[in-house]
Amino acid sequence: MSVALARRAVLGASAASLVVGCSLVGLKQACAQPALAVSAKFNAWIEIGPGDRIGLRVAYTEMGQGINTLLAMLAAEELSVEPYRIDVRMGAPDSHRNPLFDAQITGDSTSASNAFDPLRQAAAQVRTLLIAAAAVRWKCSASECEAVDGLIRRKGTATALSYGALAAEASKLSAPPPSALKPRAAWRVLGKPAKRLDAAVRLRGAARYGTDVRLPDMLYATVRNRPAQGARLEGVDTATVEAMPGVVKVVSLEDAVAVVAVSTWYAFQAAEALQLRWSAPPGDPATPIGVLLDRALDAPGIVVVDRDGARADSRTVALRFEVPPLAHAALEPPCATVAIGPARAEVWVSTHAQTSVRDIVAEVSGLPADQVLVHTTAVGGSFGRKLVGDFVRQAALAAKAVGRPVKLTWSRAEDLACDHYRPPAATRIEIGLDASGTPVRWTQQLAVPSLSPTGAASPRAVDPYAVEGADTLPYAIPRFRLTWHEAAVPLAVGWWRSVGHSFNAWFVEHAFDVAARTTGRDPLELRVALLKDRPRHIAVLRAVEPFLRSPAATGRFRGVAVHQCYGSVIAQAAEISVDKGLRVHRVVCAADCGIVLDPDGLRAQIEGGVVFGLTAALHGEITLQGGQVQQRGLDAYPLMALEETPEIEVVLIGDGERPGGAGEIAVPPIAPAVCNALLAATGKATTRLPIRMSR
Amino acid sequence: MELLVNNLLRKIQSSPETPLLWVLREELDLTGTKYGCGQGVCGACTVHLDGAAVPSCLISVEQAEGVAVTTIEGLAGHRAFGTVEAAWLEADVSQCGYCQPGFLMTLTALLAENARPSEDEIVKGLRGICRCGTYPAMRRAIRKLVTP
Repeated sequence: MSVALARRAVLGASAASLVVGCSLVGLKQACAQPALAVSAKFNAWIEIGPGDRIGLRVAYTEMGQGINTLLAMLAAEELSVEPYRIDVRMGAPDSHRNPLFDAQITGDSTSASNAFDPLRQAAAQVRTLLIAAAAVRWKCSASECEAVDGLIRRKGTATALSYGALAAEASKLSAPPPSALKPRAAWRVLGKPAKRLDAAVRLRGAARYGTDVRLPDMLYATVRNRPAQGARLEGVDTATVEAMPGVVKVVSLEDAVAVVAVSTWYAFQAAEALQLRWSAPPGDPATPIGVLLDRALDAPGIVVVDRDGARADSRTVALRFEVPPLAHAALEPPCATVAIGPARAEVWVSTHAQTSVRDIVAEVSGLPADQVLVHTTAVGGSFGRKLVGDFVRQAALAAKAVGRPVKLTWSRAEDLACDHYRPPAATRIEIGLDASGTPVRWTQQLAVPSLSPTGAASPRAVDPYAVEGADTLPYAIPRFRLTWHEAAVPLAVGWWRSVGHSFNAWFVEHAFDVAARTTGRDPLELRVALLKDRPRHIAVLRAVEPFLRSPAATGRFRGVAVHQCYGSVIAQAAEISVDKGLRVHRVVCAADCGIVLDPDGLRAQIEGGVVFGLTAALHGEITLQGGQVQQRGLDAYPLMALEETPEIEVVLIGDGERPGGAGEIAVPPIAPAVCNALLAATGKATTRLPIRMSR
Repeated sequence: MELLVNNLLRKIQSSPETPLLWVLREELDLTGTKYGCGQGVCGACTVHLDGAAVPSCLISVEQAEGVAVTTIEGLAGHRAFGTVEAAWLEADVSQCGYCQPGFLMTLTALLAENARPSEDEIVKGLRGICRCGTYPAMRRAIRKLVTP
């Protein structure tokens, strides 16, 4: 990490503020650079103004996962202030990048881990400079001063100065060498209960989301997207719709038609009235997805893992599992507002891929990227959808077509029918068991569409997103062979909360239980026996064991699953009943997320992840008819509500040097935990999701 | 047309069949009421009409004429709001926050009608959707509310 000071003159910040940047890229020797060295390596900015508010500019987007609060806590700890004193804002895409992707983009549950050291270091440096400035003022040594709750105090006296009062002088000092971070035992903020910042604003409806943006001279638009992948627009009757009330213009886009109007409602009405002719989609859209996946499974795949410690099996369990495509269905639909001027463009949007958004608007407007300003609004959920900038491109094209700012909002119908879905997937697993029922062979073929674009000429590498969670089979099974079979499906696919883990954990953990129960082995003990080198896996399993083994009321059954992803390990045990259809009553989660920085936020992400994964396991299914997605409303794509939600208990165990991921980890294990409970109840494996119980 | 919104009489230019949701959001710039589904399923558009919780995406602005419309921006005056907001903040329910005003609108209307509901009555009455899955935290907030 390189930490350098930059003077306000270079940054154009307010007259007397102290700004410290820190790089979130690795850890290098900090250098005391002269103040004019503004560097593109900086990813986070701490700013202290005379008004005593502390500003923190970050590279990561708050979308409900609580990262703003956690970043404020990291800075607050070393600054010795309460987190609520800190205003968190997005930094600019060029200077505030995610080091893992070298772009401003939030994802992969990596934000906390990225920011953990550099942000604390930057805050500690600020504290050191403020103390140094106070020491100069009071003509004493720095060791006679301390930072306490927003004040620099002269120890043993009533003399104190606020950070704001010292900021100007501190900004003129040269950067200190890396400051010692507070030891964990001295933490007053990190690791402690903390309420989310901005909660009250959001509860009162005062937060401005992307859909709430309002500009002078702004028009409102929506789209009708192509009804099927690959369909091309052949005809649109613009005249009839342009004569409808409030309609300004009908704009044909590459794969959609936009209607621009004086209000969203008029745009929605007009879009529905559009008579559109589309070419038939290529290929045979009537082929069921399951058939396409089987074709991929039958074709040769790419070897992902081939561990050949052969043992004789005395019995084989052969399974085929399949999962459907899934929609993100964030409650705030895709929406972007774009204003294109002669020299500069601005975009207001719920996004967490700001660099991509900027590049899209630059491309459409023809302006250089550094003349495109991206404003990240409050985000009404994403779960991976708002990484894709298709709706941003549409908004930019509409704005360009009408020469005015345009806010383009997708209807719920378009959001469900034209998503970048969690891909469908299918797998064939053969588990060879020895005489004692221990798995000694695991042979798996995995058919998943690729999420990464593949170059035509280069040999196809394995798509890590397709195989993640399957390639890292944790069990000590001597013979393990995994092949990936890239499947072609007539759907746009994308990243959905926990991505490949969302299906691979189900495939692995449910198959494991089926194998265990085939020979009467206890699923938990069989796991532990094969996880001897995985103490974290064993620890989380043992943590849910008391619940798993506790006497169950009549008609209640339990199942367990364990999974490692994003640096964390999590076990879930689910309790179900089946007498009145499948009901999930209780879920106990034990998670080892390394060092826990924000326990309340982590708990919230685990609870929310269980609900997200359970909704998918019980209800989630996107279906196609003739290449067209059939689900165009929440009535057709039901999402779990409060009444159906089980009791969820979260136990945080383990420790570590670094924080593990939080936002996605609880999604993968719930489907297998529930299906394993169902297996205990009925003796039957679940071979497809969503779970369908016959009455 | 005139609408009484949050105790203020507002002149409305939108055509009478426009859903109340869009009149509130775009003509009156009261954006706390959200669009989530347009079908009355998700609850994000919930407002009070004469104190009763109603999905504003399913009501035309014409149907709201002559009734008192309350949105989240005007809920602070509701007698149940302070308790509900305090319970929600104490339990730290909100994640992305998009759905939360709708839940507060529904819950305050429920409490106005039934001052001492059971936990079960509240749970059954809160039919909205929270995609972030804050339901466990909602349950904790509700438990606090019903516990004397």
